[in-house]
Amino acid sequence: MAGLADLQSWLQAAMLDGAAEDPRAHVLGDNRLTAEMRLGIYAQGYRLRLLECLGIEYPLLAALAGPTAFGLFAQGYIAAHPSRSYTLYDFGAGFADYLEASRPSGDGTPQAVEAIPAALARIERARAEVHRARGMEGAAPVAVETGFDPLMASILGLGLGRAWWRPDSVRLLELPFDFTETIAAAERGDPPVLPVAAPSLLAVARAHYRIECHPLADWQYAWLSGLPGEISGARPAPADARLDAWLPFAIASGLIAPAA
Amino acid sequence: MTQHPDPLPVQPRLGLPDPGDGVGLREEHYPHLMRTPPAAWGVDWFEIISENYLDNEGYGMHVLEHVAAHRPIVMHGVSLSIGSTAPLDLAYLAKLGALAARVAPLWISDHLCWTGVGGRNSHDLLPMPLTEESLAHTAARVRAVQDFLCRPIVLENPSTYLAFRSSHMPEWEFIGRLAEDTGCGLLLDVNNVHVSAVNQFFDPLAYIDAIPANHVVQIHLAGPSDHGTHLIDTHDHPVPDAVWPLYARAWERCGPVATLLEWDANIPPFDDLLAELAKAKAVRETVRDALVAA
Repeated sequence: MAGLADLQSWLQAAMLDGAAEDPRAHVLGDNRLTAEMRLGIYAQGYRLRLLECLGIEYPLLAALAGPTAFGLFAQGYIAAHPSRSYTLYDFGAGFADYLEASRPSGDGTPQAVEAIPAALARIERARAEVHRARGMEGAAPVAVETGFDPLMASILGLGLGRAWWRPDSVRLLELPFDFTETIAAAERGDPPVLPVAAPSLLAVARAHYRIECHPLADWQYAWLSGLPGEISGARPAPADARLDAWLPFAIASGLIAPAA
Repeated sequence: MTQHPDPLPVQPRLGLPDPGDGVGLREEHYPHLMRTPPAAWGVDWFEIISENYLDNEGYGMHVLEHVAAHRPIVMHGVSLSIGSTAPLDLAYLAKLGALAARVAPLWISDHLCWTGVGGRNSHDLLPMPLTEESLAHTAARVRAVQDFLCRPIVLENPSTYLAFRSSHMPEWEFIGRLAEDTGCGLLLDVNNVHVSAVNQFFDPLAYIDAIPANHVVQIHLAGPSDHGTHLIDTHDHPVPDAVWPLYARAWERCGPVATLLEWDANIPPFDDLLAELAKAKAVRETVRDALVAA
């Protein structure tokens, strides 16, 4: 008779890997539900649960790829990367890397159509991470010396000497496609739209618990990338008229925060 | 041979409170709860899926802290894997403890099951072989977890779809002995009793009658999906007719005790959830009337 550890290893292999050697030796069956069918309930439930998890985390990709292709992506990932965490939130973390590593090379350019799924998955994973980040909503408003809040101070040109940092609710992405219209169509509830085959820079950020994607210019991306993720490392903005004009938007969008 | 004194009588519900009727806190209901004054929520308490709030400092935590400021919270987990032969995940337990420190739950519950071995997690509530070896193993882990969290844990009977050939006791005996041995509480899910009884051909009332009533601190209600040959515990339907008599019997034996309605897929509007929960009160009134008449 198999012991507890052996039985658990056996059932897990049967469920996760389809390695169900001799189910009737371990599992009771009957005319209504054989041992194999009973094992199958668990095996199917395992795959459906993880498939559903990926579908919830990657709705844009699921819509753009369609159920058949998305199902193939997801099933490949589930087989290659079984969950090793107590939380399903961690399960989808490697999906974009998996899609990138497993895709056909296409025409060899960064904008090959085969590269779309991984790029889109990076945006959706970023959204999931930003959703759970601490963000700035709970932080006390920081008043500048004038008594204005940071947004008003920047609008009035009073915050230029302040030091800035990048909250944990911001993700910066360098992508081979421009997904602006893809994302906008999804937000309107329109049918999925393919991205434009052109490199793009994107920030995913949260303000007032609302997550938005912001296309960035090269200089915006470069400045945000150089900001520290901790308030202790906050640094002043360089003298740049474009930056001065953009700071109010960056603050209001949750892209940056001022040091106290 | 040393003569041991009789064990102290177990207090009903291990001395834990009866917060009344509750529902699961689900993301679909965040907008309703945030725009509705707490006095108008119409529910006594909320149960959270603990894992949804671990490593989460976003809007979900913001809502949870708002809800916890106005109603009692119970933490209900799915990844404790209390019956696994893998080592206990101490990092996970530490996070559970930290969340408990933050939301001050009435109790922390999980399931009599295992979720994986060898570092993998099936995210399913897998059945235990019901053997003396399993019981001793699980009891040792329950004690370790209770020591770690400095509180009794509460374990729920899972829905099961298979039984191991090596099992030699019914689940109610296993979980009852586990509770009496370790002092843990029991979360009696009468829907799971129904599901397992249909799938495994046993008498659900016999299950409920055999559970040590003093250890039951909570009852779960939910609706499974019918797959013809078997039921699956999907929490996506109203509570079926077959479950209400089990609830009545459980209440008769274990009540008054916290009741919670679970609904995790095809989630209805909050008011519909409350209407389903109100059926539990009606069943209890029938039980009370019958007891008074007797």
